[in-house]
Amino acid sequence: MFNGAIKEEAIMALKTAQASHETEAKVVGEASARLFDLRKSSSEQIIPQIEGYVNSLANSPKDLNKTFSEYRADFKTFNEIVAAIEEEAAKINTRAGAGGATGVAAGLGVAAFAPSAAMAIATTFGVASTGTGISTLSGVAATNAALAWLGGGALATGGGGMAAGEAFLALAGPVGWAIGGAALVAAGMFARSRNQAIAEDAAAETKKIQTHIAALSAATLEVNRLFNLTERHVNGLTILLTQLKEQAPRNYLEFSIVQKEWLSALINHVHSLSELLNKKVQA
Amino acid sequence: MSSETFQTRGRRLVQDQFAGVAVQAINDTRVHDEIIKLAAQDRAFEIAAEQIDKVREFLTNPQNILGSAITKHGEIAEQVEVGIRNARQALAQENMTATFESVHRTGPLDYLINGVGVQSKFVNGIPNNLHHVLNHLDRYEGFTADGSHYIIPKDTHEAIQALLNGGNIDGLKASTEENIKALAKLIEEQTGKPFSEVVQPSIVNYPDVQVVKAPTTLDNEQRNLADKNEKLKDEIVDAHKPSLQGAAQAGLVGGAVGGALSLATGLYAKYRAGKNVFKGDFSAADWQELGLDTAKGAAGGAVAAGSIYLMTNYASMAAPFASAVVSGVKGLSSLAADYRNGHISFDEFVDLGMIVCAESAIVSVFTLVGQTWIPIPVLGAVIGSLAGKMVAEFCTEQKDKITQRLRDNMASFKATLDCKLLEVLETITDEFDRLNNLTIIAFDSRLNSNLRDRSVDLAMAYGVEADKIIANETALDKFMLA
Repeated sequence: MFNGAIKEEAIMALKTAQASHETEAKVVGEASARLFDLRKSSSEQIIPQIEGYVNSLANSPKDLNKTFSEYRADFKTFNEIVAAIEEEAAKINTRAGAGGATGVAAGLGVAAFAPSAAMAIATTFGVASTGTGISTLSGVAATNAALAWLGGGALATGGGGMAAGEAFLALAGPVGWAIGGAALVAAGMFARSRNQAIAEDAAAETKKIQTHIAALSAATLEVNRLFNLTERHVNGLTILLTQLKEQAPRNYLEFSIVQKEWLSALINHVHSLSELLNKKVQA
Repeated sequence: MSSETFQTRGRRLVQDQFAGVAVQAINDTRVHDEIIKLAAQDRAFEIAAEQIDKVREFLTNPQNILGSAITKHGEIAEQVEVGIRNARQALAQENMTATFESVHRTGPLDYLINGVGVQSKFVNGIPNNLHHVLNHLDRYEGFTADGSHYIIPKDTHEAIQALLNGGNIDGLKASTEENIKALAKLIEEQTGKPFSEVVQPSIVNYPDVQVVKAPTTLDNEQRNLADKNEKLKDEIVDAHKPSLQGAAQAGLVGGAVGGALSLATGLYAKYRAGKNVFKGDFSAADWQELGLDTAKGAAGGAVAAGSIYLMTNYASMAAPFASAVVSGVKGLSSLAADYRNGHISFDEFVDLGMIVCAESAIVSVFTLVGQTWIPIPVLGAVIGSLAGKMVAEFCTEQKDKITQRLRDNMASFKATLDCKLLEVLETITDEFDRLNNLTIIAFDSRLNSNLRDRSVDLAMAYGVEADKIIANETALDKFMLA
């Protein structure tokens, strides 16, 4: 009966933590979007260029595809998921516009405003509900997993408007299903009467959120470092390719020892890039 | 924060309980007086009934009553007169003035009223009755000199008075009327006193004392006495009802108690501050401050006591609880003022309001328990209310302890979390620094030699499968020329 102030203080702390979490989630989301764009452009540009160059040489390997096939498979899945989500989002936008928006639809509708951001999160952290990485699945299975994953995230936020929608991109899935409904939890707490118990529950919830905030700041660092590494790698590859195109003969048999070293490095770096592009952030 | 501090709140609680004790005393006195008066009235009724019973007792043995069957009513009239007179006086808690004591049964006097002799004359027919009076006057000359007088039936007396006042009596012949007037005049002439002084009316009428009617007369009288008794008792209850005067009285006492308490605590506080009033250490400002505090205390005490008086009497509340309500209301109104002035938020208002009410309740319960366990008036209540105040303070302290515990817990959790996060961030930084260094070296065009070796190092760092890596010229030839 005396503990109203305790409750208030604990709930204030919870709300502050939620706000920080939202901000941090937004930072992670933006960093992930940047990484996604870089990965997409590199997969669409530098890899085909290298493939084309090697193919253009006299005495080039007949089964060059083998080298790049795995890499392409990864990106085929990746692109399929992007396409499927864009399509689904467009449908939901129509439905929401017709006035039939439920909480889930509203949540997904928010995702529709930034499908690439959703994909960024999915490809940076994405884990299907079975625990398998989305990128290791193929075709329809991967698409369904990604949609289910996004749907669950939307459900957890309960359609909390634009701000919550943006936050859910990071909240959902790997960085914290559990706290998606923290706002709802806090609201529910107000309905209860035992102030001290409320204060303690709120404190427990705050701790959970603080843990996730820590995970998100670790993720931010990792995503940014991954971006820098990818950028450096792609730049290096571009320079190496240019060097070969300008200085090496058109026939492999005429390559000098140094030029052969360059070409070896180029092929090795493509394998490295493939690993880099599929590297998932552990959050 | 609220303008009411912890100390002033504590003082208010105790002061209001003091007011409650004072009002309780006022109420107790009043109730006690009422009980005594009601008991006295009931005793008076018993005595009155005994007087009637004496007459009944007399009637149970007709053979002992003087006179013939036709004249026995004469002595019955005496008994009835004395019995009823005394019963009525007894009920009114007055001295019983009629008596047969020291009166000879066949002498000139029948009984005494207020020490004055009375001759009772109950005779059928008005002229007859007056003749009997004149006969007695003839026999006992100077009978009325000492104030002794005659008592005749009430109805007879009324009729004579009506005639003497110039009226008529229905059913009497004019000659009879004249005769009666002449007889009355004769009595006045013989005694030298007005008729109404010499001949006085009885309590009862002529028919009431007849042998067959007398028991009924007594029964009626007893019923009237009982009714009168109830009326008197109602008057006592009414007289002891709580009143605005009572509330005002309670207010005065409460004000005195409140003022005294404020003065005492004020003096003590000054003494603690090193100023002894008995050594002339007080400045004008000190006196002013003390005076103001005392006035405030008196006003607060007066309002509290007045309110408690009304609540205990009209809402049937026990004094400690009424005190608690008053205390709670005073605390709340102070909070409400703070809220209106913006000194506290609404949430603070609700929280502090709950504290105020809870404290009042706790203190009141302890006051009641104290009063019950320590049956010394006031002391038990005082000890109880102080104990209650301590409990209320303990509860408030508990709140602070819980708050502190939650804060400490959160702080230690944050410290642990920050420490772990730092570890994770260092691990990530180390890992990416390693890959970054390998990447820088791998793409450094200034290092012309060993570019392939460096690409192998990087690929292995990324975990590329060994059979895919081109580690030398032979492997490249094999890949390109396959």
